Amino acid sequence: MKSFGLISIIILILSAAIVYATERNKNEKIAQEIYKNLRCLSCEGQSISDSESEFARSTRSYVEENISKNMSKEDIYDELRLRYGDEIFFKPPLNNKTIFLWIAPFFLIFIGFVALVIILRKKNVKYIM
Amino acid sequence: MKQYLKIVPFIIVLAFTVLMVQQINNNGSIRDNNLLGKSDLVGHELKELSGKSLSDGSQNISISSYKGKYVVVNFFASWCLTCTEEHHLFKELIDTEDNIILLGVNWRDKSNDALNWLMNYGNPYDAVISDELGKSGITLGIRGIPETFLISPDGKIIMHYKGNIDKDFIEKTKEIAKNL
Repeated sequence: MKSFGLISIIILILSAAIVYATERNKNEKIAQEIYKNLRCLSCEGQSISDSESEFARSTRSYVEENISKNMSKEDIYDELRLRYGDEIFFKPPLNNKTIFLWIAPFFLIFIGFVALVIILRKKNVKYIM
Repeated sequence: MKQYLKIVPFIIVLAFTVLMVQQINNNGSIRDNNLLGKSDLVGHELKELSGKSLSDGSQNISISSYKGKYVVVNFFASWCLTCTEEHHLFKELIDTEDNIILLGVNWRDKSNDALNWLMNYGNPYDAVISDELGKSGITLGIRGIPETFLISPDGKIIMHYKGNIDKDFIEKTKEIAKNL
């Protein structure tokens, strides 16, 4: 009877440890995903995942704390957007404020292509395939 | 007429480039970094700012205990040279104004270094929160230090100064606090 009680306690402790480790892994995965999408605002061109600046380290602590408070990824993004604007994101959302930024590269490539075709036609360039 | 048509693509590309630059500016990638009161958070309520006291780790300090008063919140650290430059202005503010609470937030610093720094340069703060991990700074949307906020008696952010403060900040703060 005594050994049965002991085994039950060991199983209970092991289960709790597994649940804790799984939860921690899950949180760590979410955190890494968020870090990679956040721009380090004190070190242009790096994500907070790649940077060791004071800003990046602080933002990582902030994200970590909010994940442990069970805040969703979207809520964390919303909180950061309120403080830093869309600038904090590597991939800014598509809205009426950013629409030109999203379509401009494609539009400019298209204009370039059309210009090239017109020039080549005018010069009557023949292709040798 | 054909001559004029030739410049149409050029005008389109130019217009597009202008719009693109304008949007980059609006989205803040090129942003003036030292504008008084132009923070994204100005006008918002500061829900909470709290943490352990720098001088006594067992004591908790919360901005909510200063409700009803104007509070100047200053983020500083002993390793920050600009903080040393602006420090005397806070002493001047506190010497001439009784209506204002000066709350320091020691950002990403070691407690001992910060306490030594305050001993060397003087301590004008009514209380100092230790923010070793920098989370409070992110809650207030700071990018680095020093940064300073003026909080109204009802808890709203009314000014946000990025970089070191100047006489202008002191004068504006005094002017606002007079109306209490």
